[in-house]
Amino acid sequence: MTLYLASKEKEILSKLKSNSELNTCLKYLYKEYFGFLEGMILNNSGSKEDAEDVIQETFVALIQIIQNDKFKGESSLKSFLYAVAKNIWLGKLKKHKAEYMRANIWVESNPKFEADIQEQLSKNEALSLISNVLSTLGSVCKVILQKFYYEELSLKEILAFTDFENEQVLRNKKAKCMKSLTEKLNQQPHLKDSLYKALRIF
Amino acid sequence: MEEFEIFDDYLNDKMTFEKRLGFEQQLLENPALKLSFNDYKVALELLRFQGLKNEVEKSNKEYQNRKVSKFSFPTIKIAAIIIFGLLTFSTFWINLTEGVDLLENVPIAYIEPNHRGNAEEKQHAEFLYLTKDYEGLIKLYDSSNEPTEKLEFLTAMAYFNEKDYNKVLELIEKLDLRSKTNGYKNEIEFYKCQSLIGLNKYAAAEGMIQKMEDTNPYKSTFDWIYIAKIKILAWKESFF
Repeated sequence: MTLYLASKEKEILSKLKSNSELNTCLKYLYKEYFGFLEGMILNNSGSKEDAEDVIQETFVALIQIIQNDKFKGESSLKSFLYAVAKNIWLGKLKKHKAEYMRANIWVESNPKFEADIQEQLSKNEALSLISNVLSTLGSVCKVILQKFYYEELSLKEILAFTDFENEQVLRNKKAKCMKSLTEKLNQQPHLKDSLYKALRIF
Repeated sequence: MEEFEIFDDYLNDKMTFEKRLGFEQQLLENPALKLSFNDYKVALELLRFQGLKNEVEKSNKEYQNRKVSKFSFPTIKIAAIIIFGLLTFSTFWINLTEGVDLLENVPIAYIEPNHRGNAEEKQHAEFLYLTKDYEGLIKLYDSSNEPTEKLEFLTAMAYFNEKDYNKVLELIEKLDLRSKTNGYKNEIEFYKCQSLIGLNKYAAAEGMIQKMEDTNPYKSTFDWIYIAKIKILAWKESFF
């Protein structure tokens, strides 16, 4: 059983790294680790809703860390998830100091990967703060940009989801949408600057 | 070619070595291009972050929904299994219920006491009944000009043992007419019921049990299984 889990975990890590079958990987992560992480949050003065939020953020950060090649497998996936969730939850608790003082039953995690986790979480926090600009984009722009840059579909494939006549029109629209997005980012200079810092873009 | 497409080619490593060097040189010399390139990278990070967040949110919703349905599924499943089990058992039991069982498992049977009645045939009739000479007892009854209540009852019991239930009912009718306070009232009710069962008249037998007075000790010997079996057979009788 342990062997099976170890090989399954390897397979999941490899899929996450190559960004393939993400949905299957997430199903596995939820099935295997949701209960464990939820228990951890509930035992540290969190509610079920808090646990759901923290676990979502944990999985986002885990996938990013794996894809940025920062998770080398020195620890088990479980320990790593524990460390990520702990950092996220402690970060939230710090904002509510009273609960932070009570949350003292954490197991010490491996300091080797603490720095990488912290770095990713700072990036995500900065990204979250500025993510409201995406909601100000039109729905067509959101679809085009998400499909092109996140789902990595070609313009030919995206054409099927839109009413555009041909790829050239869609290409022009995509460029306009991207321009609009960067302009909107520039309208929030403070948030953009902190994002630049978090992403280490100079 | 749009500026963004050039950025894409550079970031996706789709440029030739020379073009790549040229672009990097431009970034160094042109601060506006550098700023535009950096904004583009930030926008990409944001789009990828949001895309991943949406995907995790979707998986979370799916997982939570599955958890809810998982919780209710066993409840429905268990209830269905119990109902199905009960129905199967009932059907099986109903099919297995036969009137023969009821006669074979009579909860109580009449035992002739040593001293009861005072007619002249008493001793002979008693002897014949106790030695199970039912044919002899029936002959004695047939040859008797004025059979006593005792002889009539023992003959009825002889017919019952010979499984001639019509004759039992005939004699019971006669005994019933004798007196409302006859000494065999309890037995008469009980064996009328048993004879009706022997004749497969279960609805009538059930009616007979209901008519029996609670003071009749024979009534208390019918347990709920026995009553249930008679009810099932009466129900089956009404269908077939």
